[in-house]
Amino acid sequence: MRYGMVIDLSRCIGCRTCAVVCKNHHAQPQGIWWNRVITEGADEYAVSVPYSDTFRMKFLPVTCQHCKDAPCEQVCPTGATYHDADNGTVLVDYEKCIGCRYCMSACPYGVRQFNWEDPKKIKGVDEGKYQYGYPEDFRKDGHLVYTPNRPAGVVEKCTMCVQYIAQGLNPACVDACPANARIFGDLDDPQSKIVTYMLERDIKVLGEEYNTHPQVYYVSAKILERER
Amino acid sequence: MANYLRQARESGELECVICCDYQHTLTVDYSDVALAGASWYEKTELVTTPLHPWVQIMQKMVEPPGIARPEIWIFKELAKHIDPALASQWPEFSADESEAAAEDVLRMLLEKGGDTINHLSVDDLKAGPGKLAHKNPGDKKIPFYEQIHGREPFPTISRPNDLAKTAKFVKSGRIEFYKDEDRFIELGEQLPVYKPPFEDTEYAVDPLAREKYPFMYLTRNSLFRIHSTYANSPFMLELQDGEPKVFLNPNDADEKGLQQGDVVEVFNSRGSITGRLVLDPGIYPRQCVFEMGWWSRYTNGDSYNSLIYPWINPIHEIYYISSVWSPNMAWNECVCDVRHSDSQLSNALLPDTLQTNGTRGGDRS
Ligand code: SF4
Ligand code: SF4
Repeated sequence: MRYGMVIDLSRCIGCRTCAVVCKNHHAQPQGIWWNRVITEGADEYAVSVPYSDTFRMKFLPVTCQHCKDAPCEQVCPTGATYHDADNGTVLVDYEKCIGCRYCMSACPYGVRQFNWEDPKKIKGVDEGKYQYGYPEDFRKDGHLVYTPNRPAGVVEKCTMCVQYIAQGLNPACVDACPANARIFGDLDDPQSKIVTYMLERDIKVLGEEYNTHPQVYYVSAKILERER
Repeated sequence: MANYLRQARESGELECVICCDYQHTLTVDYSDVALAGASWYEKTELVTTPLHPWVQIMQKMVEPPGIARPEIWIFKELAKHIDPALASQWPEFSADESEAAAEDVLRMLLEKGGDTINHLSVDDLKAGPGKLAHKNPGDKKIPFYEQIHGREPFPTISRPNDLAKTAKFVKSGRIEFYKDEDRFIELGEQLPVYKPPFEDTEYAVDPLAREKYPFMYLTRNSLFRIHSTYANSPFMLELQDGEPKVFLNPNDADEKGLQQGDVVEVFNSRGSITGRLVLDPGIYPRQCVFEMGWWSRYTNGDSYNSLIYPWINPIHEIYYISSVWSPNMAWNECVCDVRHSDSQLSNALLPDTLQTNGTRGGDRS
């Protein structure tokens, strides 16, 4: 079994729901976003980009690509970053991470983020403020791969919702996307929804030149020409 | 009118203002007594919209925090204390029994709500959304079905006022493309017509406005709120760097000597608002956009509506039913200018973590 995701950019409307539910479900403190949505060519949200003689907004949701050949894993000196043996997703063991941040410079997608401070403090958890996120620790094969308040000094990133997929559920962004732009499933199962979806479409990966072999795939956005 | 409550309180016309809210709004600040209400998922609520035929109940999932209580209980208690003699008109229940009381009201609404809804019970709604009944074939919502197939005259069904009160607006009993009415004729609007902005409003009142305020001021909706709802959500604030933005066409900004990232003031003779400048080549020349919904706590106490004047299209005055329909303001009929500002934006976030992390939820990667 090999879990992967397709993000269909021809469906994505740039609403950032995926980014927000991800942040909420995984208790990400201020400054940390595992899932981001970029408007290609613009450095602010809701800004259009010149395209031929008109304008467009092309959205690109970016999260960990769960690379098969993951540079982050190769450089990790402690084995904190590893591939899950059952499903091939890339995970971080928060108990093993020493915060050296080699992985952050190795990852060509800039998706890894570092906890400079105790997230509890940033979120005001001890001041009785609203605490959000999946409330319990989650271990996979003994590794601590999710905890609602990460210790200061660890690197974190998308886990493909390890705590949910282990229960047979979809990742939160897949269920929340109002445009059904995200398809999740087993890339090794020829009958799976994700494989069928991919077979019917032209599939691309981000940064092919890095030879990271992502397990997150993209369908390009269609360009709708305006009739004149 | 929007400020009436505040003025009436300040002049003493109103003795006491009591409000019930679940957020610290300005209304709370202007009230003599603020009562903490329960929010979504902290009480039973009925949700319905004209946009689709489904009715849903929101059931209580969590206890309201602190001293917050469901409004149904708060208002019942208030009524009882204002005039104990009338207490028999309300059922007596404790705050903890509010959900049961709300369900009783709901049961009564469903039973007496007529044949579009009386097939639904509270238990049905607890099990899932309920669909309103209507006469269209295939249980589909087909606009104007009765009018076209049953030859029923327009206007269509009218709520909450009955047809007799609204039918006068469509005297022919048909959809009216050509409006054969005195005021439409007088203003040359029998057929849809283009009228240039500001000529009958801003420029008519102040001819100098044409030069003084060369920009149109548009207060569009934001991606990160529904009007002003969710304006305080920390995630949504973070997606906007916790700062209001002013959007201009790059050529216009250039002409004004302004650059992306500058703090700018948008102003006219009535008011002013400050935000950080974003250049967007998709913004039409001479337009200035400020996203509506920012609470004034994020704009140094200023309101983006301070620039706006409540112009009313005289055509709209024809349509009036007390408390239901009245003419609306032309929010975007407003001119302004933009200049560099020295003031600080009140950032709604603690920016340290954003700076140290160098990552943002927004578009910069
Ligand atoms: S939730 Fe879906 S549509 Fe919205 S930005 Fe994410 S992928 Fe795109
Ligand atoms: S996208 Fe970056 S963090 Fe994710 S597996 Fe690839 S190299 Fe590692």
